[in-house]
Amino acid sequence: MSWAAHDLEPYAIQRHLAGRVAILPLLLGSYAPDLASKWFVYGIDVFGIDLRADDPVQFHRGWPGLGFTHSLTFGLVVAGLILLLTRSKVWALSFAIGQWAHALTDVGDTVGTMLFFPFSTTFVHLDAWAYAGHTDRFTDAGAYFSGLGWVWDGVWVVYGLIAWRVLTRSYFREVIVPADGVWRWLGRRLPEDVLLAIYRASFFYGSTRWVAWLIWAHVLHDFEFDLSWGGPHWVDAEHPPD
Amino acid sequence: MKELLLYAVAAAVYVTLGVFIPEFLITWPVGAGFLLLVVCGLPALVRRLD
Repeated sequence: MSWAAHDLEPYAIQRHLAGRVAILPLLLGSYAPDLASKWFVYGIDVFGIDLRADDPVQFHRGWPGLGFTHSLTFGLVVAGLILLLTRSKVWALSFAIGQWAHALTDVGDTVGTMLFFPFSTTFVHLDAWAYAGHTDRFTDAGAYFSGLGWVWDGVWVVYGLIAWRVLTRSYFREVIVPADGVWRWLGRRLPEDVLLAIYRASFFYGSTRWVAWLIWAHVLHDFEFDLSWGGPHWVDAEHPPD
Repeated sequence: MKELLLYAVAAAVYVTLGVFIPEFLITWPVGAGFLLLVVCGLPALVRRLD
């Protein structure tokens, strides 16, 4: 579980692969594993009825459950469908890379991901930071921004700031637009300033929420920092289901 | 420079709002919509009023 890395990693990948990938499918791939599951992990209230997974970890990362969305195969299968539907190798490749980045990043927590599903249901996990998605969104935020998870996200924030040229108008014109016809199509309908804001939106969202959650957790509230491996240990971390 | 300033203002306001109303930080559409509003919507409104 990562709170900002999935927003930020695609920009780093884009910087290294430049015109060989497109940012929109990269971002889509990076968000894809959690799109259908995250809301049900934390639960939502619909007209007074609390909709929430009975076993959030099993649902989010396991099988049976939606854990297959965090496997490498899932990225390849969806990329294959994209290729079939759009005939765009760049879109297919970019989606696969984005989804792989997500699946590999989530290996960092104490639950990990079934990376090799359907060939294996073994969870690959590094246990660097506590998975606390089963608590509630705010306890999870407090825990995540007190452990090594926020450090990992911080690496991408800092990397993005160092590689700030990726976010400039000239980079957008010279690298991003030529790599993907969608931008030219959008450019006929929307002003360039709007396209730029769309292009930068995920970086903006990831980096600002990283700062805001950090302040929320440690200035407004007093969640205790614990940067030890697997921390914070004050939260009841989840582990792979049996 | 004006563009950078707009983004910096958007970031500062979004962080401040998010710290006190963390629900604001939860979904991508809210963050992206806020950015579009501040860096595109407000300048367009100001231009129209001028």
